[in-house]
Amino acid sequence: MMKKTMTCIICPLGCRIEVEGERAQGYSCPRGRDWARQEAAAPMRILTTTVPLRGGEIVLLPVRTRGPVPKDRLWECLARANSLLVEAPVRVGQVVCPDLAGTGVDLIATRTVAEIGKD
Amino acid sequence: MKAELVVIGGGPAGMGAALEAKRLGLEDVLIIEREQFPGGILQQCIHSGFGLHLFGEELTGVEYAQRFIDQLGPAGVRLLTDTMVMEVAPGLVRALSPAGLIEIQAGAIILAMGCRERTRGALNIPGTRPAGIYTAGTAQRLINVEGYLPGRRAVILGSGDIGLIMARRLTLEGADVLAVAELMPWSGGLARNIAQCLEDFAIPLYLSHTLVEIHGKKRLRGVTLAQVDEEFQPRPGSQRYFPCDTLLLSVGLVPENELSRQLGIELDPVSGGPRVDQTLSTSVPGVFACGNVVHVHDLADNVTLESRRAAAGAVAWLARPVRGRELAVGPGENVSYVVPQRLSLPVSGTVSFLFRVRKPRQEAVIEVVSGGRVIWRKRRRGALPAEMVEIKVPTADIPAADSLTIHCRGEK
Ligand SMILES: Cc1cc2nc3c(=O)[nH]c(=O)nc-3n(C[C@H](O)[C@H](O)[C@H](O)COP(=O)(O)OP(=O)(O)OC[C@H]3O[C@@H](n4cnc5c(N)ncnc54)[C@H](O)[C@@H]3O)c2cc1C
Ligand code: SF4
Repeated sequence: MMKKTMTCIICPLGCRIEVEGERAQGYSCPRGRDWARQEAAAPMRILTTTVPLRGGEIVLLPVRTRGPVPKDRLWECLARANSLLVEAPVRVGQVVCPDLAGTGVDLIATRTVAEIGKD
Repeated sequence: MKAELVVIGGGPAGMGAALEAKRLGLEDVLIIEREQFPGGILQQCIHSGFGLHLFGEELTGVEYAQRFIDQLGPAGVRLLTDTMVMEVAPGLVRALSPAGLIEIQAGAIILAMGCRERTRGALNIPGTRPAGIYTAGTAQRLINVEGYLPGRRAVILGSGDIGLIMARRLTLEGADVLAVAELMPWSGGLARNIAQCLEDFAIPLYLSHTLVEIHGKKRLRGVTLAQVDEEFQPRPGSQRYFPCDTLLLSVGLVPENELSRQLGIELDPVSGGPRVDQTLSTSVPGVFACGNVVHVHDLADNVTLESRRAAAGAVAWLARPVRGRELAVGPGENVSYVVPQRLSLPVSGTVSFLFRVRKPRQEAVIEVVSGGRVIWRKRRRGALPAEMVEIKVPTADIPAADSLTIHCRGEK
C-alpha cells in the first residue's frame, strides 16, 4: 500500500497527515482523520464561485456546493454553474441548481439579495 | 443625531460589537458604514473557511457576514450605509451621508474600519508602470463582486492568504497562474491554502524569490523573478522571465487608521493599530477599537470574539467612565507585537493575549515574564508567522508589577 502525505484543509491548523491503507497519523482530531482517509481514497472539495444574477441589487450571486464534490469533477461542476442565470430575489441557502452536474450535491446561494428597487 | 454607542465600520468587527452591545443591554447602538451594504471585506470572500470555531460549520465569508447582517434588524441595531465617517472627536462623529454632512453625539465610540492593502508604491518595485498590476484584494473585488476578469496570464507576488486564494480564483475563472513568488523562505499563508489553492491546481510556489523587473509600456508584458540570498539580495544568474498580462500584489495589509491618527490615538508601530488594553480601549477615553483596525487577523472568528470584548469594554465604560492604573505588555524573544499592549488594573478572570511570532518554530514554549520572573508558561506545537497565536492567562498569575513581556522560545 502506498503512503500518502497531505495537509489537512478542514481547519486553519493544517496538520500534516500520513495515510497508509486504513492507518492515518498526524491528525489532531477525528474530523481530520476522516478527511484524510477520504482524501487518500477519493479527494473531495467544496466549489465556490459566482453566477450572474438578474434583477437584483447586485449583479453576481456568490454560490457554493452544499457539500464537497469529487475533485476530479470540479471543472464539470464549474462549467454547469457558469451556464446558470439566477433571478432575484434570492435567499441565502436557496438551491440555485439541484444535483449539480449529476454529483448529487446542490449548488446553493451564499447571500441574500433583494430585488432591485425593493428592500 | 445622538447614539449611546457609535460603531464605525460595518464589517464583522463592527457588526459583532454592535450586536454584543445590544445583548448587554444598550438601548441605542448605531453602525456607520461607507459601502452600500454591511459585511466589509467578507462580501468579496466567496470562498469557504470561515466560522468553524463560532458556528461549528465551514461557511463562506459572504455567508458568515450574512449571519450577522440578518441579526441586525431583529436586535434593533441602527445602520447607516453609504455614509463615510470623516472625523472623530471624543463624543462626536462627523460623517458624509447621501443627505449631506451629519453630526452624531456619541456616548462611546468603537472603531472598526478594518484594514487596507499595501501597494507597490510602498514597495519600490523597479521597472515601468504599465496597466495590469493590481493588489490581490482589488482583483478579488473585481472578479467576485464586479464580474470582471483582470487578465489571462498572471503572476502573484506574495504568498499571504489573499494571494493564495486569488491564485485559485483566477484559475477557476479560466486564467493561467504561472507563479506565486514569496520573498521569505516560508509562505505567509496557511498550510491549508497552499494545499487547496496551489497544489490542487499545480501552481508553483517560489520561496525566497522576488520581483526584479516589470516589463511592458502600456500593458504589462511580463515580469522577471529572481531567487534571493539570506540578505534578500537577488542571486546573480537566477533571473527568470514570465510572460504575463497581470501581476497581483499580495504583500500585506495595514490597519486603516486615518481617523485614529486624527483623533490623536496612540498607535503601535508594529501592529499598525491603536494601542489597546484588555477591554480594547484605546489611549483616548471612551474610544474603543476591534478587528483589523487593531491588528490584521487571519480568522474572522477571532475578529468576532475581539469585537465582543470591545463591546463589553464600551458598555462598562458607559456605566462607569473611569480607568485604573496601567501595566505595559510588550513583545520579547521572537514576538513581533502583542495585543493588548497594556492592561488596565484591576483585571479578573483570564486575559487573552494575541501575538505573532517573527520566525517559524516547530516546538515552541510561550513564556510570560514579569520582573525577571516567568509567571506563566505553555508548550505549543508549532508557531508560524502566518498564524496569530492566542494565549489565555489567568489573572491570578498576573502580578501587580509594571510590565509583562511575552516570549516565544524554541528551536528552529
Ligand atoms: C482575501 C481574504 C481572505 C480571507 N480569508 C479568510 C478565511 O478563509 N477565514 C477566515 O476566518 N478569515 C479570513 N479572512 C479574514 C477576515 O475576513 C477579516 O479578518 C475580517 O473580515 C476583518 O473584519 P473587520 O470588520 O475588522 O474589517 P472589514 O471587513 O474590512 O470591515 C471594515 C468596514 O469598515 C468600513 N469603513 C472603513 N472606513 C470607514 C469610514 N471612514 N466610514 C464608514 N465605514 C468605514 C469598510 O467599508 C468596511 O465595511 C480573509 C480576509 C481577506 C481579505
Ligand atoms: S486534523 Fe483536525 S485539527 Fe488538524 S487540521 Fe485537520 S481538522 Fe484541523
